[in-house]
Formats: sequence, C-alpha cells, structure tokens
Amino acid sequence: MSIQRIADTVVNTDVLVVGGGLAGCCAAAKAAEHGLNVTLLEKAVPERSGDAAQGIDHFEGFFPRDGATTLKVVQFEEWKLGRYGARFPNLNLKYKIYENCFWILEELERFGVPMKWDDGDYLWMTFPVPTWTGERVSLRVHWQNVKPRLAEAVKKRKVNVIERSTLVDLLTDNGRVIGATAVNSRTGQFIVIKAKATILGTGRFNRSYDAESSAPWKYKMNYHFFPGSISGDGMAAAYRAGADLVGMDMGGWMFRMHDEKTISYGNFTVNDGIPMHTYSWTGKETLNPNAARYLELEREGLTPLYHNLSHLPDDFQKRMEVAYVDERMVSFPIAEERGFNPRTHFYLMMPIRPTGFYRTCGVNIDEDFQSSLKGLFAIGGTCANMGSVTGACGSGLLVGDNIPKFVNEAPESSIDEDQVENQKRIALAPASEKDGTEYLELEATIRQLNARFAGIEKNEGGLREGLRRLETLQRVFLPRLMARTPHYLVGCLEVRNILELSRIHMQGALLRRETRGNFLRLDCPGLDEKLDNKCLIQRQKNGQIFTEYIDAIGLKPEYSKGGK
Amino acid sequence: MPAKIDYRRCIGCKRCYNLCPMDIFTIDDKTGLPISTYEEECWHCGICWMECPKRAIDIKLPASFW
Amino acid sequence: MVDVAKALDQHYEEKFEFPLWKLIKQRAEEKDISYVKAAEEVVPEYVKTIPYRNFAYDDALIKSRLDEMIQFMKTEEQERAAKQKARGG
Repeated sequence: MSIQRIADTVVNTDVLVVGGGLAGCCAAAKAAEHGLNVTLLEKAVPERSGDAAQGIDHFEGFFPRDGATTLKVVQFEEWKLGRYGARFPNLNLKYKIYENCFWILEELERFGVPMKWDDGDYLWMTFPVPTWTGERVSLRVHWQNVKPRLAEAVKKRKVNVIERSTLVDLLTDNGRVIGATAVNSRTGQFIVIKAKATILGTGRFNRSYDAESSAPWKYKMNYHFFPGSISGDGMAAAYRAGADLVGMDMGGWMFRMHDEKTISYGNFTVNDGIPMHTYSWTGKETLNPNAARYLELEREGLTPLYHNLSHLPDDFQKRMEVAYVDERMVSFPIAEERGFNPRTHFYLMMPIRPTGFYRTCGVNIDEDFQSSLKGLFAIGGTCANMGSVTGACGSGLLVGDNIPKFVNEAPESSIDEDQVENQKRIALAPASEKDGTEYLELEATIRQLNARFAGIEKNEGGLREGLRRLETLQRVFLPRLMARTPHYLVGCLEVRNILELSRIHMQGALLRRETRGNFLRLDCPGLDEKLDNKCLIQRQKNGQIFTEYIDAIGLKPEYSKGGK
Repeated sequence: MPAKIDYRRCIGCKRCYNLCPMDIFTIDDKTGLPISTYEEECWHCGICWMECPKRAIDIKLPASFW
Repeated sequence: MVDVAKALDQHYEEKFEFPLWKLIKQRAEEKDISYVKAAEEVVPEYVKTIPYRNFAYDDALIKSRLDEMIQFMKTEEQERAAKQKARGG
C-alpha cells in the first residue's frame, strides 16, 4: 500500500479507540477481552489523562437493583436538566447505563479498580435535592489512582496504546468511518490507523470560554473541573467527517467557578450530602441560584454571593479532606498557601458563565452508541446523553462489549490516499510556518469572542458578529498557525477544533429564537413552545450545513412503568 | 508559578515527564533531567507534584489565579 | 443574618493546616516517598476514624438541612409575592 510512503506509521486494527480517559480505557479493555485487536490513541498517557487524571471521589447512578429507583433517578436527571432547559436526546440511553450499573461495578472491580471499601462493601451517598426521600444514589469511591489502575488493565489486555499522539481526522470510505490519522506530539510523526470500528472517547468540548487565569495567553488551561487537554477533538472530527452533532446550541454548561480554585467540584457542592449555605455580601441568606436568579440578585445589589460550610460537623469536614485526596490532592497546598480555613471561610461565588459543553450535547448516537456514520461510535463526554463518570465507564464498557458484532459485519474498505495526504498537510503545515501565529494567541482570541458574543446573554446581532469574526479567523489565521516544535502541533490541531465547535455553537444558538433554562436570548425573552422537547441536529456535508430539530426521545413504555 | 523542580532532590526518574497530561516537560540533553519547558500550558493539576518520588516539585499559584 | 463582612475581613489571613494533609506529608517525609504513595497508606487509616456508615445520623443531618432549605424557599416566595403586591403587580 502506498500509504506507507505518506505515513510514518501505519496501523491496521479491529477497533480504534480515540481517547484514553475513563470511557476510552473501559472500551479498549473490554473490546480486547473479546479477542479483538484493539488500538488506543491517547493525546497524553492513559495513566494520568482526561477528566479523571487527578482522581474521582464519587459518581452517580448506582443503586439497589430496583427498577423503580432506576426510574426515579432518570426522572431526577430530567428534572436537573430541565433547570438548564436542555433535553437529553434519548433518555433510554441513560436508563440503559443505570440498568447495567451493577454489571459496570463488577467489571471495574475485575479491571482492578477498587469499588468496595476496605470493609468489603460499597458506600452509597445521597444526592440531596428538595424532593429527596432518602435514596442513596451516588457511589462514593477512593479513585485517586483510577487512571493508573485502568491503564494497567488496558495494557495487561494487550491493547496497543499509542501515547503522546493526537487525533487529526477520521478516514472515510463511502460515508463509512474506517479509521483515523494522528500525529505524535514528541516526534512529529504522522500516523495512519485503519480500523473496522472507531470509538471516540475524547471527552467534552472545552477551552472555548475564558479560563480562570487572567494572564494574557499564559496559564490559560486552568478551568475548574475541566482539564486543560479537553478540546472537543472527537466531536469536531466527527462533524468534519459528516456525523450529526446534537444539542450544540444549548450545550454551554454553566458553572460557577469559585475564587478558591482549590476545591474540586465533587466534594464542594455536594459535601457528602449536606448542602452548603449561601449568603449575600449583606449577610442575607439566599439559595444557590441558577443563572437567571443570579442576574436578578445582581440587579438587586445583593451580589457578590458567598458559600459557607461552618455548619458541617467535624466528621463531615474530615470527609471533605478525604474527598480532596480522592479528586484533587493539590487542593491542599494551594489552599494552605492562600491561607483560609475551610471550616470558617466564605467562598466567593463567581457569576455563572458558560465554561464548556457537557451532557446534552455532542455526537448524536443511537442505542448502540453508533453515530449517524457507520463504523463510528461515541462514548462518554464525546456523545450526548452520557458525560459524567457513570456515563463514561458505562458507555465504554457497553460499547467495548458489543463491538465484536460490528467488527464482524464491517465490509472491506480502502483508504483514500488523497484524504490521507490532505490530513497530513493540515497536521504538519504549522511546522513549516515561520513568523506565523501561535496557537494560544488564536485560542485566546476565540475565547474572547465566545465570551463577548456567545456568553450567558445572547442576541442575534452579537451571534452574527461573533460568527463573522470566527469565520474570518478560520479563513485567515488557521493557515498561519505556527508550531516551533512538534509539541505545538497538538495545540494547532486543538484550536482548529475549538474554532469549529464554537462556530457550530453560535450557528445553533442563532437558530434558537427563545429563552429556555440557562439559554438566555435577550432579543427573544419568551419560551417558544414549539421547541419543547426538541433537540437541534447540525451536520455538514461537502461544505453544506444542514440543521433540523428532532424530538427528544422519552423513556420507552416498559421503562417508564418502573423497570423490569 | 507552575511546576518548579528542586534539582537538589530530583533524581531524573522522569516520572513527571512521563505522566504530565499537558506534556510541559522536556528532558535536558546534557543533564538528562526534566525541565518545565511549555510552562504557559501548565494548569497546576498537581500530578507531577504528587507523583514525584522525591517530592522535588513545588506548585505555587500564579497571581492570575488569586 | 450572618456577619459576612466581618468574616471577609479575615480573608486569607488564617494559617490553617489540613489535618489529613499534615499526616500525608509526615508519612511521605518519614518514608521518603511520593505524596500519592503516602496518601495510599494514610487515607485508609483516616477513613476508619470517620463514621461513614452511620446512615441514620447522616440522614438526620441531611434532612434537617433540607427542611431548612425548603422552609427558606417558602419564606422567600412569600416575600417575593408580597413585594410584587406592594409594587401594584
């Protein structure tokens, strides 16, 4: 094959898993157990990559084998999402994960990831909400080292792990996905991977809004709860290959970044079950507000707001410490350096603003987790309906377990050399660019545009302006990107994805002429009932963009009756 | 400042270089020891700091995070 | 009302050491190991000192806080309705 002339490395595999996070490692390890040849493509190293790199302290969705409880939690998910306004495109996928939760727990235990505590049992926690009636629906875990354990499980099962290598694009043959190309960020080598099935586990879409650092394009990768390496690579590549993305209009995840950038999300707001207190600077107590309520309080002069944990008894303060270790141990030295006592401190609550895309958006998938393109699957944060630790592990295991069927059915395919040449050119061009643009500068510019024109409050004029500017940047500056070392080739690929997905978001937001949940259109303050239960699909083919609203798929009758 | 290596303690095991999710370290040709090279991309995840067998790495928050 | 302003004046002036972190550091220094390895040893010991499985106790605390929040929501709603009325809404 003359692909050998174009690429530095050519790999032929049954299953290509892109992304070695929780989802990808679970999928790869499980697929390998079926005797398939599995390749895992990872931007960093699976031992410490993705959202769970520093650790995880809990995940949702594990409860007694009881269909009624499963149903209740799915309904709770719907309620939670209702506050944000977005819908899960297919609630049955969520239900599928929860239905299989005990199988998931046992598989992870088999992989060497500790689920039970030292006393031999699982520990269930509550997830307190106003309708709480005592269910313990969240599993508490000591997963500081979940990634090293999963990485070991992957390697023990003879998965071929290609480390320090970033996805460039997907390869297609007659509309079917047949593999991908990648570049090694240490050597600059170009890699072609031919696969019968490709699974995207590249996580959510992030880095499109301003990070917590105000420094001009330095330390710009710090986002509370979103690791620096997550840039929507799989989502963008899927879109470019012609796959449907869903929910990218409303997907802007709202998150309050606390000024103490020490606390990991998991332990702070959940506090092992006891909700915190929230106060105005005036001392008046309030409840933890959503976006609209925050803006109301701001207009009343009651912001800034502060969180407080003084009411937590001593053993709950100790639990928080344990959660720090489980999820983000660096919180200790940082907190001590800043000199506050978590027991008495008033944590400044930053205004809500969009920070990333999560849960209700991403690659649209069917109940086999297959995208609208044959041969392409998406799991974890890359697809809609999943996200979260539960979704990542669950979808990874389910897809890995079921992939042999798709591998066996995969027809013969041939790689298009032109496609490969084109992708190689895009990937390596920055290496020959002298006096070009640094990727971080372009990224910072995109983030500012998103903050200004696609922030918490949107309007038509702003979105149109933002789109014009993004399109200009894409046309003028993507070709000027410069990579002084192979390391920077990754950033150049990432910013290409961030730009594309930002455009997709703005295009989607422009179409949605209403205000719903956390999606605020200043020029369209009312709710459009015609969009109740609708999700936006966006796809491109040969440069043409297609959009349509589809109905969010509710629970099947057999599920909504209380499970099996 | 992001990951600051104390070279009096560093034994050149390369654990930080091998694990960093953002690949901010490179290895110095002459000394064989890791250097924080792409430090603008460091997001202070603390993985190098917590994994270093000699506790040779210091994590300090830059002003822009205060 | 809570005196938030007074508390904020003491912002960042406390010298506080997390008890668990102190133990982890000590173990790391004693055995000359990484912090992550020290945590692997120290945390299971620390966990034993916390009554994680006293569910009745947990549930009572959670319920009381939630009841507080629900009551608070009701009061806030009443206040909002009253304000609306006063404005002639």
